[in-house]
Amino acid sequence: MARGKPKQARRPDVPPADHVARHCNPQRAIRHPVTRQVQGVWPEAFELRVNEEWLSVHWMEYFSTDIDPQFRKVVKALRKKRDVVPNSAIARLNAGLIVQAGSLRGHSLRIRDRSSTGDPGYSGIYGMPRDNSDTELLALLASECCIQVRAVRDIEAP
Amino acid sequence: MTGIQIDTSRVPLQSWTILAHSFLQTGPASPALAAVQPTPTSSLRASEAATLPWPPSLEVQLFDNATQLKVSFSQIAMHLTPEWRTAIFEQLDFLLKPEDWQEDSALIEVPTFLTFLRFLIFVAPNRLPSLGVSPNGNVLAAWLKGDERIIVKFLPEDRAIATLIRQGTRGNEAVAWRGHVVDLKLFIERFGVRDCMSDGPT
Repeated sequence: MARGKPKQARRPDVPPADHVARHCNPQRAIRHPVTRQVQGVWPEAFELRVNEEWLSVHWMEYFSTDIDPQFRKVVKALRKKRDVVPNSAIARLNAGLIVQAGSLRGHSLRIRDRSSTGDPGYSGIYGMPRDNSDTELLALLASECCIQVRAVRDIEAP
Repeated sequence: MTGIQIDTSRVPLQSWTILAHSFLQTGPASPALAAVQPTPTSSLRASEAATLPWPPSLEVQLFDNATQLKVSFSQIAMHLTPEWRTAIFEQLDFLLKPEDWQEDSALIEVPTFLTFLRFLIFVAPNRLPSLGVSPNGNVLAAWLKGDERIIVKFLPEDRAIATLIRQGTRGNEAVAWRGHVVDLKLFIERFGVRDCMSDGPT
């Protein structure tokens, strides 16, 4: 009897000191009402879509140790998969704070590395409520875990 | 009922071409007497609409959505200043830009926009909010000032979900709230973040 393909070894979770990037479309970035400068992200940027099991993010330290190249390479990786318009934004979140926010709200959150050669740095936040019912958790992710938000236009500016 | 039968067996076989032609002149005898064109029974707009593609293009849907919201605004928000009107309209246009549209973008639900407007009129903040759209099309509004934040998701029928954040003695404190927007004003005041909606140092 032929043996199946051996299971892939479980990769370690993204370390608590590291960061993940979440792409936010232009409707989910909080902008100054007049200047349009990006000021943050809406909690709704962290809602799971229907049939989505994990929240898609990119492990930033996978690409570089410096923050500027991290943002640029995340945008490059995203562009391989989808449209990324200049008015969208990238939120940088601390992995340890995400896990902490989860435990504060009674959820066991894990950030698992799902990177592949075709999708470097790709990761997922697991354990989020599937129905997006925990408003407080979404607010914590947007306000407490989010270290920095940059508009894609600024990331790619020369 | 039987139709007119023509016995073609006696018709000699020839390559005849039969042309239908009216010998009766229906037009005016003189070009000077131009025929009066009958008035169309349908309006030009309706006849044009019949030729529009269906479903409408994204650009048309976004334009229609923005128009609906602006008409709603003009009907209910006469209490707001022209500056507020301009700032809100510009934000709506930004949120509904065709070139920024992505697969997870959403049109804005008019009933949630009406709830937002009623909240504005009732609370009368003097700082403009930042606007956004939830994946379900709900209007989002935020007032940020230093460590204080008021973030509201407006729902139809004057309901809302809000998150309020302020600086505590040992870090940020956050509370979530849901209910009628009239009660949200009181909740904001009780939590001590009303200043977030007022002009002053940030």
